[in-house]
Amino acid sequence: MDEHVARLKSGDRNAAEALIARYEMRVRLYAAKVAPRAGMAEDIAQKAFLLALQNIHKFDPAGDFGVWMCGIVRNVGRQEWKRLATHSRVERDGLSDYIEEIAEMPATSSSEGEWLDKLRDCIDRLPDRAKEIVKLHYSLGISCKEVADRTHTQVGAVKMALVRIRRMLKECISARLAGDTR
Amino acid sequence: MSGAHDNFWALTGGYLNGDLSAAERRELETLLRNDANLRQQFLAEVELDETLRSVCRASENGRSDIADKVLRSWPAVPHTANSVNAMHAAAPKTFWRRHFKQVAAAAAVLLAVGIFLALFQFGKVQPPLATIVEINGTALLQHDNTSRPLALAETIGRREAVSVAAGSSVLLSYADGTEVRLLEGSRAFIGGEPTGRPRNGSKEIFLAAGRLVSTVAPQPARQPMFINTPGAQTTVLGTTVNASCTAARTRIDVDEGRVEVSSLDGAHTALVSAGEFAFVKNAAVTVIRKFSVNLQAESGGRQPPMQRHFAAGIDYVASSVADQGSVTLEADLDQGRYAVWCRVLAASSNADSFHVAIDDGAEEVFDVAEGKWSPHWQWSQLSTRTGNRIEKSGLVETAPRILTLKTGRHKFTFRCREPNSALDAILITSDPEYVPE
Repeated sequence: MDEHVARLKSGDRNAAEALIARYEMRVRLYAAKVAPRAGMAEDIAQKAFLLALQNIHKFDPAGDFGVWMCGIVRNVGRQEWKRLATHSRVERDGLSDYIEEIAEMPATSSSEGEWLDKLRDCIDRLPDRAKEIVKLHYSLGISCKEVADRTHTQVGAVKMALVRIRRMLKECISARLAGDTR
Repeated sequence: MSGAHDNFWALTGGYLNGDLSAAERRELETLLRNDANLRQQFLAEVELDETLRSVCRASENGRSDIADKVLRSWPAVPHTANSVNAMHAAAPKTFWRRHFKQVAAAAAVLLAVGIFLALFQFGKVQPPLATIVEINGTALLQHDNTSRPLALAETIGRREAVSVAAGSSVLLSYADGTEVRLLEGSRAFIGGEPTGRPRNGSKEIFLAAGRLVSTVAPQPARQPMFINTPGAQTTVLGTTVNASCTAARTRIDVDEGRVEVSSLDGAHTALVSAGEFAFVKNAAVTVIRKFSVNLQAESGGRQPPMQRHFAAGIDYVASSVADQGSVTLEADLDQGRYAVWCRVLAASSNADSFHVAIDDGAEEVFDVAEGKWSPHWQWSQLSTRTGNRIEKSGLVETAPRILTLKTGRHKFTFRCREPNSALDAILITSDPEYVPE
């Protein structure tokens, strides 16, 4: 059993922060796949962690904490779908079910930290214009429409720029993981 | 890249932005079902998008704030119906346990609803209005003369106000999916003005100060949502609308749909549509269509010795001879009032001014960075000299120029005044409060 889970179950609340830090990225990534809208993953991850802490006594020590979290994230995600569907004409459809089906809780990766370091490095190397879009959209959480307003471009151009930026980052990370430091 | 691949990336981008139509979602599902490679790429794209969000937020805030938020809420939040449902859905249950709990829950709900309705009938209980679903930073809940820190999952009732500290924000959610985000420095009464009479069934927010951003779910025709400020009333039937107010004015920006904005006395009313904003000031309502155009200086007509230069990735124009050389930029504009911002480089007080003429008007001196000289490019609003000097500093006093223009093509001519004053671009906007970053 995860040492932090063991400490929590024995009543040591100080272990919570370390536990969240350990699983945060993986929970967020799974939440991104079950979320009704991009940008809601953080909310879902937050609610899932809160539920997990409140119900840690129900966690079976013989089980896998990551898999248990995965179940909670999935159900919080479903609740968010229902909440949105109430009046916003948003309905869970085949694509949502299918993505949930093909997305599994990411396995623990010893190279996760290195990958994140490369990602940060590659963000720094983006052209200024791309960096500005990344800052507005990802750091400040601003929608494509508002980014377009602020940068005085069309919404479509911002969306295409984001696709290109993600592609550039993937290529940059791959190159750097392969040892190319240019 | 093939057309099919382009389509896949466009659909994936649309999925991440949350703006796929039902047909596009079905199309994406079909692509994913039929191609294992695309599935892998799609999941990698979703992961990268979320990782970027997480990494960039953490860089912006200094650290990830999930742990902070969760730990802050942990001791305070009891198990809610939702939390119980989510946990139970995650855990296996016996048939008996499930039915026993359902019957017990149904009985409890019926009892609670009965008590609630009975009390509500006699006016002793106000219906819950909104729930706090996100707190970034610090916020207070104020009731009468008391205040305490706001907690996640709290329900806010009538005569209760939420105050949001600098650098913080709070997200409220209503049962119908309507969401309201209160931004830093805001103070809002969630049930409407505390001294006003509640309107039956309508949601009401009284924004006493600051700014909010709301996404309003479709409301019943006779029960619109009201967003009020000390100077204005906004009636919303279902749209995305931003409101901000100061003591002097209220501003309403509409992103989708249409709202009705009235002065507080009801004497002046205007409909504000998507892409427009309204100012309510001194009981008058002014509606303005958002418009802005960005013109690159190097694309303008130049008179020597104004020359095009390229340095550090920036195309710009500058003249090395005092009072000689100009660049003229042109734009087609509708009738209205416009602010003009210029991206300039003014490294010192010897290289920081142009003579500027609009159409065939007289030239006025534009001090582009008076007291704000910098080796870096900066945005500076087109201004004119007032004729005064600022006490102590001795700097020239300037005042922003707001241009009133008729429909048609307009010329903006920048003639060199001090050599090496550099111009990269100008931005003409109908929004007098807009400040480029």
